[in-house]
Amino acid sequence: MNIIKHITTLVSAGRHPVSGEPRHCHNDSLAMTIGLDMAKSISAKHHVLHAGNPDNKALSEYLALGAGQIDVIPISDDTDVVDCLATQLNHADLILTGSRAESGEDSSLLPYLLAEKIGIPLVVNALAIKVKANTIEVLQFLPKGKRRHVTVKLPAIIAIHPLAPASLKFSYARQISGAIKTLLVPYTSTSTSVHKTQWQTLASIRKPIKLKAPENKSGHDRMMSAISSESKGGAVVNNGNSVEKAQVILGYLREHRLINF
Amino acid sequence: MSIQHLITLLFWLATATLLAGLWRRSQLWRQGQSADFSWINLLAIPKRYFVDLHHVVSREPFIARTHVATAGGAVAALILVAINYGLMLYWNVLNWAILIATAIMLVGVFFVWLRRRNAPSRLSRGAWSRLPYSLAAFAIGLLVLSLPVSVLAGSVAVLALILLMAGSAELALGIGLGGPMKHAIAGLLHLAFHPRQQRFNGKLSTALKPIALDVITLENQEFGISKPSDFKWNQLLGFDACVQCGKCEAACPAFAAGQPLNPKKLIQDLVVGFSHDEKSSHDKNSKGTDAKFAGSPYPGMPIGEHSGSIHAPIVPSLIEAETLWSCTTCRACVQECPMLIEHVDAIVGLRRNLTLTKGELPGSAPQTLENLRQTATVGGFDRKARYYWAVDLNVKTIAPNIPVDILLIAGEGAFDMRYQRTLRALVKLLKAAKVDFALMGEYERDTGDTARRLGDEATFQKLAKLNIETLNSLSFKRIVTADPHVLHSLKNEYAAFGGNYEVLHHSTLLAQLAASGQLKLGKSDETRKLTYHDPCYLGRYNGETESPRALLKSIGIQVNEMERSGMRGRCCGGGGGAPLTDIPGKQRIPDIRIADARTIGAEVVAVGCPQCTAMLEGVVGNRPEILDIAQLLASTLELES
Ligand code: SF4
Ligand code: SF4
Repeated sequence: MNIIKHITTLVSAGRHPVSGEPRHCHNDSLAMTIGLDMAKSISAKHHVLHAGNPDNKALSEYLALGAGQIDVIPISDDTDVVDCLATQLNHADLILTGSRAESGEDSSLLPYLLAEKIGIPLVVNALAIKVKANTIEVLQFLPKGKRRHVTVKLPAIIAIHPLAPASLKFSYARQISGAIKTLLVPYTSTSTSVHKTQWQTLASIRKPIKLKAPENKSGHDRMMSAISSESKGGAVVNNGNSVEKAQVILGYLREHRLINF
Repeated sequence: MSIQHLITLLFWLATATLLAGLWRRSQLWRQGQSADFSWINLLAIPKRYFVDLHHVVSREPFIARTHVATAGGAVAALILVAINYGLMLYWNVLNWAILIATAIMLVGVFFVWLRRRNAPSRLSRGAWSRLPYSLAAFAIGLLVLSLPVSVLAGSVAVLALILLMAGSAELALGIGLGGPMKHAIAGLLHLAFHPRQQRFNGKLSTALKPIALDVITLENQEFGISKPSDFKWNQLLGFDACVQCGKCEAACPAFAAGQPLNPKKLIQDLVVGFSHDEKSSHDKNSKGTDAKFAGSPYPGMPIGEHSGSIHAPIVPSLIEAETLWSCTTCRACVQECPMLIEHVDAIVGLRRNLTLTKGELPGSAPQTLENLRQTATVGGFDRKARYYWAVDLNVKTIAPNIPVDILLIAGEGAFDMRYQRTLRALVKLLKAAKVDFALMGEYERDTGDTARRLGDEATFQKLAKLNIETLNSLSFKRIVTADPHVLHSLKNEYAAFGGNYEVLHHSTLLAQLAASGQLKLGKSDETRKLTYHDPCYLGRYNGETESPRALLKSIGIQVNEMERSGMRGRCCGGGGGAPLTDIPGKQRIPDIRIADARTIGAEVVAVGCPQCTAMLEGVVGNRPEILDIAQLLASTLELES
């Protein structure tokens, strides 16, 4: 028997890093495509949920990508989305989302905060989802080409990895025939989001540079470290409390002059 | 009953059969969508036949003469038979005239037969192979029967009558049943009701036609062409005119490269599709198959595995998507087609459905369309960066309050470091000619050319409207561009959205400036053997083949022509989004073009398009140097100073 009746995918408003044009967030679209395919194969209902401005042009791109209908919780700019999403997600058996938004605080913490708030399990970096009798099995991304299967009880939140294999199909016909529905009861939250009140958003001028310890390795070593985690070097810290562990990381960053405090 | 009366009977029987067949055929065409047309154009058929169609056929004089003899003889004989036997006059002098007409026809048929004996692979066999025999039967039968009665022994007359009946069946029955002779009727009607009437006014007609986007237009909620019945009825009629001569196949770069496209088979597949009505068959899912097609298959796709019907989706059961995505929209097929069939319109129509309705595109095409939607550039670049190559050149950038004579639009090539050299050379030339010009700067959005060829009419129209809005807010007299794709969109396709501009390719403007003496060019010190590659979007799409050659000549360079040049130039493989969809074949199209250059021993290939530059320079190994016209011209300025 199929236990999943409602799948909800959370989508965020993206923003093109160069032009600043509103657009779909690619990672959320992957989640939505996986959700739609899954809903179709197990005849569940699929919902697309967004918290924000219903007039945002980015939303129509999700329609083009197959959303059909997008439910929008209309919230003002300074409202924290976690609270209002949590209240809206009571009926979902499975909640999908991308791993990280393209604008706003962009911290990739939303799935964690949401799981904590609703009190259901979270699996991150999912590449594929298989429906089992009472559970679902998630293929999880690990670095260096490694994968692992995680079985999780429902309801649950699954955050899809940006490299999940789903092909997006952008159709103008779906874009103009889809609907954006503003949910009637606007949610008012007491907690406010930091960035929305204090931050300014600009198009990025330069590509962000990844902070990396300079490597001084032979070609063979570099190849080995790209394909196996054993030969990466460094250390795995299992012992100690979180403060001690954080100290190790800080030490590493200082040693390689990636931070200067 | 005498032989004469038998012929009269046969004539009227055949005429009735033909009319019934024609009615049946026209019912098939009428399944298409409505189209603007005018009955008056029926009167234009003779002129269009003898001028426009013959202009194409006469490129191959042997077959042109063969056709004149065969068809001319046959038509004359039929008219004479209609008068003499149809109206039961039975005059002897008319019999002599029939005899002469059929004799001419027979000579023509003899040459048809000769050619069929070692036919080039582009010709279809199958039903077409029987044509010399059935036509000969008709001609011989009629010829014998029109001999003076005294000569005829009874048995000979009977034999001749049987031959005549067999031959007439090809005409009378064959047309209605979709045999080879249907080309005669469909071809003539196609001349009258051609979807691109401008072609007959001696003008080029290459702009794609816009489709409505605000509503879902067709009853099946689809954009573009999904099923054969989504074509306009006069397009279906046009497909029926195909004589399977394979000239399109021989000209098609994708076919030559072994990609799964053959424009001839594409047209025949569409004929299969609209000729089969599943509703009139007891099996509602029945389909017509392509098994009877007796020509070259789509490379790599065996014949007999595809089928379709009038109301069934074309892709993929009748035509695979890869076939459609292989096309470079070079229009070589249209240029060669003696029946003036419009392959590219059909292909783009089908692509529109895949793109706008299904959103299914191969390769990096989806990414490109997304870039166009989100950044108005093909490569997803920052629009501000488009004119970085000109920062040190001291050229002004246009603004609403700065009127200029000439607005220079760089196109997507401006982001490519190779093509920036061409653009810098062009700026140098314009400065040398003291032209009042300005760059478009960050106002410039992509013209949407690639989006449109890929079937994304929505993105094209959005970009077109934005560009027109911008251009209309600026003050300039003419636009010049070094990119023929920009030229084509702005000059030919923006008019449908209210953008009317005088747009010139840089070679045209430079040729004008050189001719008027405003641009003083030196002599080139280029001693290597040089050839010029015509960009499809400059030559076939815009008819400009002379200016580049005149310019090269004016700086003392002799142009050695490659095998296919001018209006019949071979494509570099860069158009129509083909490099993005990147359908695998046996070789790459630019390799074929470079092989053309190598064959004539060219060491330099002059070009006039960023796509051609990139495609031809992408050929690996020892190849001729690729230089833009502007570069060759600019280098003579250095010599002067
Ligand atoms: S489409 Fe035109 S060129 Fe091609 S085979 Fe038919 S008649 Fe010949
Ligand atoms: S436009 Fe060019 S590539 Fe496309 S079918 Fe015609 S000849 Fe082939």
